Amino acid sequence: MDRITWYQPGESMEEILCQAGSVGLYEGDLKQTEFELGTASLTLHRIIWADSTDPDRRLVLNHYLVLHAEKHHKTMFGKGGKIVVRLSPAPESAVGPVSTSQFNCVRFIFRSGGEDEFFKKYDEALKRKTWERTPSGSSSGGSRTSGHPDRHRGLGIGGIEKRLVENHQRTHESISQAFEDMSKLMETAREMVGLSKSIAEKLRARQGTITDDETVEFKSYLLSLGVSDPVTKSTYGNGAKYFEKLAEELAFVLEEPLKENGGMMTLPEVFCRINRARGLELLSPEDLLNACAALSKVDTPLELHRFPSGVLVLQLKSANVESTVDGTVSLVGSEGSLSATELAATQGITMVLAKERLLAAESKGLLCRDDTVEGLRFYENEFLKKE
Amino acid sequence: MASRRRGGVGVGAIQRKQEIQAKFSQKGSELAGEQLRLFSAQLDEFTSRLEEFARKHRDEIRKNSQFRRHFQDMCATVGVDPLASGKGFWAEKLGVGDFYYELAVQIVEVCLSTNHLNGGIMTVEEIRNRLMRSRSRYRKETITIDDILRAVDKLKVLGAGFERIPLGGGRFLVQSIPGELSMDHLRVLELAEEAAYTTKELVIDRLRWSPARAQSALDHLVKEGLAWTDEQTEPVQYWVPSLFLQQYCHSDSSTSVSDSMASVGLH
Repeated sequence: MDRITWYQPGESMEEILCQAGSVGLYEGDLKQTEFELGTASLTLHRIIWADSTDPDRRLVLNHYLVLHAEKHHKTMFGKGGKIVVRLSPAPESAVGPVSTSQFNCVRFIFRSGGEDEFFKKYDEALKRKTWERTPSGSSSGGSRTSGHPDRHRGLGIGGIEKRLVENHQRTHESISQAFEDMSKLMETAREMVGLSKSIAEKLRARQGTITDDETVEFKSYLLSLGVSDPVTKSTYGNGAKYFEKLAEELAFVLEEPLKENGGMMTLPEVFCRINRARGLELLSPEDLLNACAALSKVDTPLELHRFPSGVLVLQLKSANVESTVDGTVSLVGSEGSLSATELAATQGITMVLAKERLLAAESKGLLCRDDTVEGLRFYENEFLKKE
Repeated sequence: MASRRRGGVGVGAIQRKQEIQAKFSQKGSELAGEQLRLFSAQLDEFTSRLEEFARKHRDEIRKNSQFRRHFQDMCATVGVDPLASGKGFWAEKLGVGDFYYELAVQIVEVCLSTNHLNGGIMTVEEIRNRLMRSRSRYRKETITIDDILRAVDKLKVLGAGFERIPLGGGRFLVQSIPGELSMDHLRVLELAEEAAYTTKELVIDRLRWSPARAQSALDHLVKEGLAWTDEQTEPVQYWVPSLFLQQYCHSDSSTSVSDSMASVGLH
């Protein structure tokens, strides 16, 4: 454990190859540790363990210290699958949580799984020995085995490896450049946001000093930039041709599937279908919402409906929930009673929709609920029948 | 002076822009129209810088999860949401949109296919494990927990209960069915995390609740389909499917939930 060092901020900007959550780090075969729960991130040079309770508390285990790593499956009584890592002696300048240790290995315990994939990538990374050939961007972390590329490898594999290494090195240099470019870009963005807020403020204060067209144009700029403004959000749906076109696209893609699915679909399902149909240039959830809101402006057989519970659905105008009430009631009657799960299974609709149908029938007084630990069931309203 | 005016687009435009900006900052009450024109000009400049950035670093955002996260964090500090619209500059030029929206689609599909088993709650790790396994066949991108949580945040507007639920310690559950989970319910789930089950006695002992409070919370979880009871044990054990399925799911290669359940001996 004395080979593990504290992570210095900014130490590693390498690409993360793999991550796993709920990982504990134990010394040797000790059963207790200070480092019970964290996220383990794997790069080509090291494993970084970040404490779940305090994300700034991070540890580093460099690959060059690893002699051997092996994976063990979760046993019945164990806390999780584990990876056991045997380590070479600690370099002198390492600064870590433990200064000396009698153990030569550490264990990573994966409490919520993921050790298979993590180990596979770890093994690959260890074999690559990338740290021998390239700088890792680290400013701390003790001695490094001197970088002699393996001269004994044959040209074939060695050549490929060399190219991979060169690629990685180029990538590393360009990453720093990328971060710098990003900062500059964000500065410009920040100015834009500031200016747009000032304009929005003026719009709120004196309506009518700019034309409606200019207002619509401005709002579309805000949307493109991703600046949210409560005023523009509420009235945005109005002027945009873009969302009206989307609304038409929705109708085109979803009319048949809706008919096949009982006339109604929750928005997440719609979201999946429309984006799968598009393949590229996908819609954001907000785009979808705005498009549904624009349905009323366009001539389609679809409409957006909001249930009292807040659930949103896209439905055929002809298939609103009222029309399902009688059908639902007779289904309940023929089975004696139904839960949302059962109704969903028999009708081939989602649980959320099944529940809404039952609730709608209940609100009309045609069904009664029985709410127990076993779940929520609905029965026909016997009082009505008695009359 | 004169030569500057006659200059090419570059110098002259900068000069003009500086003049406008100076005017702008002097008077506080510009006509909104004039500001709009300035805004529009700045927007053009921003767009070309963004295009330049995209040309150089577009791939990096897809491949490098740390870079991607840094990008998201910076956008948040500046006050922009790069995922607001598929038609937005960020989505179009950098392709961040397609990355996250596709992830969102896959998350919805995973949740919809397992809701009836886990009551509409999953750990974010289980979602990640399943996605990585089904994606890895044709691509090498790493999806991080941060990516998944951001996609879930976006799905929230669709009104079907998609939401991230913090468990404390930086761990999260993802809900995909409308329904309220109180703090009490969450604390019981948190307690069950270690072994994927808990008992009423454990709840009373660890959380220091009254028996009634403990029973009420456990009953609610069972009613909502989030916990199953094993009455053959003494004391009665409350198992949380979303917590135990994930421990067995990853160890075989199939993504099928029914396979995982069969391997645990459940039918």
